[in-house]
Amino acid sequence: MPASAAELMAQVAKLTLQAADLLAEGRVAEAEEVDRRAAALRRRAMRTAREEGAAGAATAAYAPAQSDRDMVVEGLTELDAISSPRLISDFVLARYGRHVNARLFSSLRRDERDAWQRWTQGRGGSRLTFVVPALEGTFFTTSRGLVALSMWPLARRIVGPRTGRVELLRAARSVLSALAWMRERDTAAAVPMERLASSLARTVPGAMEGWRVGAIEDVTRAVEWELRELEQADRDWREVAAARALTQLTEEEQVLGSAGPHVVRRASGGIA
Amino acid sequence: MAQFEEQLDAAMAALRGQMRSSGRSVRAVAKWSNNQRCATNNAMFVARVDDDRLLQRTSLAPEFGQSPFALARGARVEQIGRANQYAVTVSLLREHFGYGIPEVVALDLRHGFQPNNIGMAQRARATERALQAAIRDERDAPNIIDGAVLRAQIGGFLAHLEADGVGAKTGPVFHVNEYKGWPVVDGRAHDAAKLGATVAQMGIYRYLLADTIDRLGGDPDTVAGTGLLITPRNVGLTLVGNPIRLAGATRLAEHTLANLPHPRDFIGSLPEGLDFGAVARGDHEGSRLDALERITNRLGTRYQESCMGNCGLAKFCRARARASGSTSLVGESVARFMPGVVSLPRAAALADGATPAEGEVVTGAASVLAAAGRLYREKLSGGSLPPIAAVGGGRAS
Repeated sequence: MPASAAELMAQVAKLTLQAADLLAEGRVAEAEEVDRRAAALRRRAMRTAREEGAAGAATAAYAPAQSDRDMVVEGLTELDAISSPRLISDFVLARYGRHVNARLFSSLRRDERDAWQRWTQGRGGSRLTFVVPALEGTFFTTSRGLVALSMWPLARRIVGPRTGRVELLRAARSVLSALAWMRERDTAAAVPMERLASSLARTVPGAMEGWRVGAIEDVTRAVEWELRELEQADRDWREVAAARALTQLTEEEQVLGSAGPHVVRRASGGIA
Repeated sequence: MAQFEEQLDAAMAALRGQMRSSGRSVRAVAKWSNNQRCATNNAMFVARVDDDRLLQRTSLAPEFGQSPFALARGARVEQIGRANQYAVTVSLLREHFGYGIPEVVALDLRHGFQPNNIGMAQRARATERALQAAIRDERDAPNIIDGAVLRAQIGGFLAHLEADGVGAKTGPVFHVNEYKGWPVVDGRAHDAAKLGATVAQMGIYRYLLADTIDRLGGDPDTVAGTGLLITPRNVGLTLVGNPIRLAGATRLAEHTLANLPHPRDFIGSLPEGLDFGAVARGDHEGSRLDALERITNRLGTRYQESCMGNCGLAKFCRARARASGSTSLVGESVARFMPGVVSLPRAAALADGATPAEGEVVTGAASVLAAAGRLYREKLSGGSLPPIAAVGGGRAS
């Protein structure tokens, strides 16, 4: 009997913890492999969840509606990349036909911060993951307009000089993968996803011929090619930063970001 | 030194009167440079008078200014250029300047700084740090400096000027990027005047960028002779890159910045109780225009065709030029054929055969006008031809 979505997600959580342990021991290559397996499993879990949802459509009227927050988590899980609210909103609309206002994110981030603090203080909460700000990689302050999931390893939540482009390419790859799946099942529903894919892939050299996304394999190949060129240097930078963050930041700061450097003044008013 | 600057500042505030000062910007420099020999224009520039607002609520108020739709379109173009971690800009830089795949490091200086002089000074320092990193060929030096701020001495004061973007390709090779909301249709700028103004603006940025790099110990020749103008294509919002040669515009910028009027030349230029604030305030149009008349009589004006699109006083100066029959009314290219001729009625009289004065003969204007008159009469020969003065050549109202 195939595993349920919840079981698969539990396995993902175990793998993520395993990856974190490996990173702490400095076994980066192994951690990376485990993280890849976790990502694949996560995608499978979400696919299974959707199929289970479709099978149980008769009882859908009694199931609680998914909140905007859940949609954001699902969107980020599928995109598998640090993203801007606008990109998540566009993806959720194309993927689930659900409109999530990008302006929701500032209040969502506040709610998530409060929920995380409640959870760590043992005051309740059952969330598996939190929507958290990506961390700027020099002083680990919150990165403006970029969000991630707390279950991702710290290095994946840090933004380095080339991370913007790398994460965009990762998101493009996920969108293309969703597009391939949607094209097979429902051509009409795939149109918004195709529009999103073309807006992301248009700036990748050799990805597009004209205005439309042609063969998905060709576009994905072009995206992968640019990603390969950038990913290693970006990963190295972020891992060095993550190692520094682990030694310098509290657990809360590792998730929600630090206050950043500030001028310290002596009582007399002079700068210390 | 600081005390002298404070004194200058106070003198300029007195000249400006009770008016909000306008900012020191590249746009203001480009606007001023359209008519550098007009003393009123120079005075308004050094005193930072917002001439677009000076004659508001009068019959001579200017009708130009950007429409809200054009402003919204410009903002949208910039938004597209910066979306998805500058994806479109990166793509255009790769296409037109050969940026390599790893050259995608962007530095956003538009956010995280206070919108005031302190913030601008911090942004200028951040810009210089980024440029220095590129000069030293540091590994993660920014390739796109969005909202770079460059320092310049404008009108005797240190100003911080904000460029749309500075590109820094490994090498290093620097260049200026500029976003504009007006379209390029079939490969040609929709409005030649706007293109001209943009090129002038980019020339100033290029000059200041080279100056900054020189100050930082880099080689000013690393600034590319070409800048990238990013505009929408046709009527849509697909952005295209237009490489623009900036050598001429940079020379012009150097000349312009070297010849900016200095506030010290305008200290005490208006009598006590007379300032630009007197023109801007009050409900009685007559008294406001009277104040302006006294200011322009005192300082002097030099109306020319290009004032119509650049100066808030253009209609006022055009009315003055009409009243005096000034040759500037027919445009620079025509007026250039009439050196030494004091007015349009005099030009008409010379064409109709009046005896020229010595000044009109030595410049050759008299013979040109006499020949023009002859041709006019020959063309319409048959006896029904009225004299030029009678068909409007001498109209001065």
